Amino acid sequence: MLTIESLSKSYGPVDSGKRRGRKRRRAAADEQDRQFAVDNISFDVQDGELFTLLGPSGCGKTTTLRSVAGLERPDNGVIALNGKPMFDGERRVNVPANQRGLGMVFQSYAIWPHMTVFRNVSFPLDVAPRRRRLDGAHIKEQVMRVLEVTELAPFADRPATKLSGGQQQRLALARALVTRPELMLLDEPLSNLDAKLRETMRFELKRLQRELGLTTVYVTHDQSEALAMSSRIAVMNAGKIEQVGKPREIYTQPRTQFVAEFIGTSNFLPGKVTKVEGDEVRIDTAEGTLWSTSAVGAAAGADVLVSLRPENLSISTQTTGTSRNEWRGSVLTRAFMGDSVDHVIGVGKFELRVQCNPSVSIPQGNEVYLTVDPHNVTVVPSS
Amino acid sequence: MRRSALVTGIAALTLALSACGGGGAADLGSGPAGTGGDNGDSAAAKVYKDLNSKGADARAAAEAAAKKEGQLSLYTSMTSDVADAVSKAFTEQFGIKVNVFRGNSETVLQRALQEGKAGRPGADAIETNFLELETLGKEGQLAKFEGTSLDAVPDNLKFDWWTADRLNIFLPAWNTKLIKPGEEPKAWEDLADPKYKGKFQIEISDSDWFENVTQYWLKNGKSQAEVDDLWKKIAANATAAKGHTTMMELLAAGQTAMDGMNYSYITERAKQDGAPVAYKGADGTTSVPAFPRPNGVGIVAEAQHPNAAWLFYDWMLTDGQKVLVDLHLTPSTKVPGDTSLDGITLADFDVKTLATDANTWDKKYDALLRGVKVAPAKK
Amino acid sequence: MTTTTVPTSDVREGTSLVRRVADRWLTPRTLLVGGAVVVVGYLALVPLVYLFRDTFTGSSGLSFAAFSRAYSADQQAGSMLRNSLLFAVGSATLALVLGTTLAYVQVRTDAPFKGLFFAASLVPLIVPGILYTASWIFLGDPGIGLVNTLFFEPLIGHSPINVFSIWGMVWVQGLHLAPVAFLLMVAAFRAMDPSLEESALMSGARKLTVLRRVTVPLLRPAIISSVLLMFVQSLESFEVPALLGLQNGIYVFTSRIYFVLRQYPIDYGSAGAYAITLLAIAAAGVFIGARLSRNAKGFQTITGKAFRPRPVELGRARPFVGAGVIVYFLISVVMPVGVLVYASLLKFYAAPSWQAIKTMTLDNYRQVIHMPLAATALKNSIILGLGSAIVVMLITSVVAWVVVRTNAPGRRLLDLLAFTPLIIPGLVLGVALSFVYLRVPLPIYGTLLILLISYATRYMPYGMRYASAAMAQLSSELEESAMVSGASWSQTFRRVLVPLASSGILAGFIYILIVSFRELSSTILLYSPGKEVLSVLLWEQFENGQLTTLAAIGVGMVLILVTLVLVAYRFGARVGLEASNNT
Repeated sequence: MLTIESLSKSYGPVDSGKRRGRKRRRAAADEQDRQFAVDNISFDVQDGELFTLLGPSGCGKTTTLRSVAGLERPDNGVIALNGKPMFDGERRVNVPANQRGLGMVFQSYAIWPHMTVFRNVSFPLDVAPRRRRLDGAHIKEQVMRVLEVTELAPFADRPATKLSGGQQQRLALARALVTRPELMLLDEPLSNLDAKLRETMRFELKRLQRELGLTTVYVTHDQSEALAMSSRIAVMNAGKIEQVGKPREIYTQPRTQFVAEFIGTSNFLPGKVTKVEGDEVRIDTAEGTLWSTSAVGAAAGADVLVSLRPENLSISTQTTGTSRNEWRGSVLTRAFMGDSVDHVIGVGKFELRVQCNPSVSIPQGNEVYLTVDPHNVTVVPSS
Repeated sequence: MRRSALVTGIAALTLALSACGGGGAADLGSGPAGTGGDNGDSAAAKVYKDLNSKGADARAAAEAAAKKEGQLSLYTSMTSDVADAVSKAFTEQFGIKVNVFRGNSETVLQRALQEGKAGRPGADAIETNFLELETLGKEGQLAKFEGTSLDAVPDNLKFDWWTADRLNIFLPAWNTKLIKPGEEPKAWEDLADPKYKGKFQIEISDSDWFENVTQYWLKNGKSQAEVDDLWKKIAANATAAKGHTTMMELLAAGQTAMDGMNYSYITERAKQDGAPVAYKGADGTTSVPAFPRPNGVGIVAEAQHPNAAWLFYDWMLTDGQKVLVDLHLTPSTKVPGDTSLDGITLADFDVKTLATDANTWDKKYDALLRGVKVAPAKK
Repeated sequence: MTTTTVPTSDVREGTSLVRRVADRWLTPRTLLVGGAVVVVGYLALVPLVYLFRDTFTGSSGLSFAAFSRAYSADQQAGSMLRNSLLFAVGSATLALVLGTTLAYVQVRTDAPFKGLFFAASLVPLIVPGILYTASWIFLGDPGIGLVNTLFFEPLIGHSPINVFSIWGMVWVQGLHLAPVAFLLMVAAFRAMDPSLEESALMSGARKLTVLRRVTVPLLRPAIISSVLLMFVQSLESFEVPALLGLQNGIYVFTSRIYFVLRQYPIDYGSAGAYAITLLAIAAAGVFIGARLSRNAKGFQTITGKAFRPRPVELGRARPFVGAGVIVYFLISVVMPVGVLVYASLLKFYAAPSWQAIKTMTLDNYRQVIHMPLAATALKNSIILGLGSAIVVMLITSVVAWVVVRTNAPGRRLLDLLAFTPLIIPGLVLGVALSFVYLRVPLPIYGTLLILLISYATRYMPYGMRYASAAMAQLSSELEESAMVSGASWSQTFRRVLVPLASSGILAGFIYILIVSFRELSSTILLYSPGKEVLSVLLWEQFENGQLTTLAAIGVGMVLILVTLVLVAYRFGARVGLEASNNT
């Protein structure tokens, strides 16, 4: 559906157009000053998929999305939609945004305040090229259908500014949907909503996307949003894609320290792979040994970081009796979080966060046994 | 829309434009346009030549042809009430529409010259101050007029390129509530009297008045040093103002007690309107020598409506004179019922010096006024 | 490069070169933008090129003779320079202090009589400079000025006020400009999130400290840009220095230029030398302004979301602030307009007395109505006012878009070009335009068109200011969402940008409409018989000393303009509403 190949976009002291005529010496100096917002990334989005670009602010996810939309001109690379090139740096193709036929929801919604709800939604149909433009009745029918779907039909004649935040969000969505675009682009659409509404809209969006079979590229910095909604996630950092995968894969099998850190929370322990026995890998750390069955591809002798999710660790005042993956430590602090109790356990010089069922609460200073299933011991390359 | 393209585009445009400008502004002030009017090659020149040769029949011929032309464009420095009355009378008599451009004499000159130099004269006839007419004539913008109407004009009011149609008489004017009878000036020298200190205004562009008074004093036995001393005292007494009618308005309102000089017709008309002002003593006479500054009429060499222009010139010296008298102006010819010169002693007005050397006198007058006036602002 | 200026198109194999070039360049966007750019460049450069050519061309190529003529010892250039700077800086400062204080009181406090602010901001803007100055002569003349005779004379026994002084000039110009500062600062205060100040208050700062340390620094860009505007406007202004300064020989650049242009043979070079000096001073001001506001780029918090600031409660100070508002209203509106109305009812101006009141008559108004030129002048003024407002806002909206919204190379130059006419004195512009169009074989000279060109040139900088402020306030996503929705550039411009920027564009429209009515300095050189405008009529009356008729025309003109402005606001409001309904 959507193919991105070796896409790059930089912001330097001079833009690419001007650099061409410059002396090489200057160009080389400029090269060092240039910041790559998007640095040679590639990915594919399949039909009907909700593909998420996830990462902290400044990681290049929005620039990527805007390049797909045609609002930014990348330096080079290829963007193709169903095999048709939308942008090709080599062949100097760049289809303008208004001819790409995409739907997009902006972070600020970009609802036009001088139009009614209806006019906002009908705009994309009104401005279609004359030969493709629908007549008034059909426009009305189509707009009203979209407004029904987004539950905005009762407000059709209201000024757009008179809507609540959630309604404005749905309006932006309705406007993007009304032309039945092949591809939807959503730029942090939920970030302006309050926590409660965000939760609701998250499922609402997902439902719509699934029911209408919309192929969607979704940009967010909120990992729980990404995990809950996406078919696949691309985690981005500093202009590069760190990992692409299904939400569960990303969560349970982070391939880099960045991914492990960014998605959920993790305890990181430096260690060395000392033995590889089939699926089982033995890692030695400063405070003891851990066995992992999830460290795919780890080679003996490699320096690694062991990543342990707090919710995968369990503590008990009694030993389980197994010697594998059981460490002794003591409770340094604990905190009641409502749906869980967080303990910080000191094991030698390590401090590990452990998330427990609310029924487990061990006072500070007590000695505990800490265990982890080898399946939940993941390993990322040490940086 | 690269920068270079933008800049080049605009630069090219401007170049093209200034190329259109041809001769350029720098040479605006130099050299006549070569339209003296007697080469006989332009349409207007032919019309003038023809009319000038017709003698007594010229007026009728001009009238018939002018009606065909249908309109007249007049540039004048007459105040709007005078200009309105004159153009109305002309239109009523001949059915010829008059388009009036009114401005002060400097503006009239500048506009007529600019247009003339560009070969697009907008005026057919010009009615303004002597100095500007002299300049226009020298620049070759005016054509010669020879008609029987000139016979009525005294010889000292006929000039190469123009003829005086009215006289602005320079005389002091005063507010009768503020200057008691007998206190009024009897001679120009009186303006130097300390009793008038701060009481009167003088007009900042009246360098021709300055020149005439100076020459008059020198001619009547004063030494240069005495004259300089008088002016110094006058300048110390006076404040400056701009515009004769503005001065009269302020005089009528009692803001100032006296105008060092004003045109007698302006004072006369304010008086007729009920303002407490006068330029003659209670006995209806004044002993201050009055300087008649001529204003005249000229026809534009390359006029679009030469017949109408010629007719207007002729008319201004005949029927038009009556219109001026009705407005209390002083005509250049003898007109029955004209009382504007009663009780006044006319002196000669020195056109010659001013026509050749106006700038020197401008500068002298400017220096005289500025030398004193800047001082209070500095304190 | 959010919205690229290099037009991009889908290049397919086999398309001819011509076709490709056409595709690339013959889009409505490039045509419109290119057209606007050319017009701006043309309007700005014609007088500029003319000016430089005249000044630096001697008998043998490049020459500085004009400068040595202009600055020879007897021209007293030193005092002229001092007067000009004192006048411009003084007026701009006075206007800024008045305008900012009023804007703060209006937007941020619960002061009473806020209704007066609209009139106080509109009336001095509407009253032409020549009238406003004339009314202050009636008020502040040392001999007959009403402020002296009715107030100071009985109170302290002498007349301390003399409007014919440099301070009198600063006072009148400053009062006349204050609405400009007021309008700009109101917008700035409205756009500023009060929570920024509140957080300073919560940090324990006193109110004055907050004002000094937070409010003023945040407003710095707005302050700098309005001071700059007023400084340049005062440098260039003609009426006040001519009417108040010449009396006592206080020359500034513009009055000196006026004088030079009246002499024969006209020394265009000297006039040009003065004008170029003026240009240099103004450019220095602009440069300093740019330097000062450069660090202000990060103050994006100022623009953005809508919020309704809670007004500061004045408490015990409220009655005093209220009294201050009334005093300002009296001084800036009631007194000048009152004295005009009073003068318009008299046959001859006289100080108020029973006798004067008994002779009051409507004769002046009758006379004005029967003036043969009145109808023509009114018609022409309306045509020109509306025409130049439309032309300027059309062009500047497009150019402002280029400057604000694109990364087009050369856009700064374009911005600068659109700004330069501000600095060219109207008289010089008049000379330049008449010279050029007398030699262009098009029916421009002698028609209303030349006045339209002059006004469009003179007011382009103001149009730019309004249009670019309006454009800068809009989030770029509003524009991008239209692009993504499939709208072409012209559709986006017409249906999204312009309606959204309409309040700013309308404000610019109204401003230009008003100032076109009062333009005099270039009009006086460019109008032709039958093409008179109201300001020419006013000037005629002043030249002829018909001060009472002048007052009558002035009162009529103010009434007409107030009506026009109200209609424009109404119309604008209606258009704003309907824009959402039509397709």
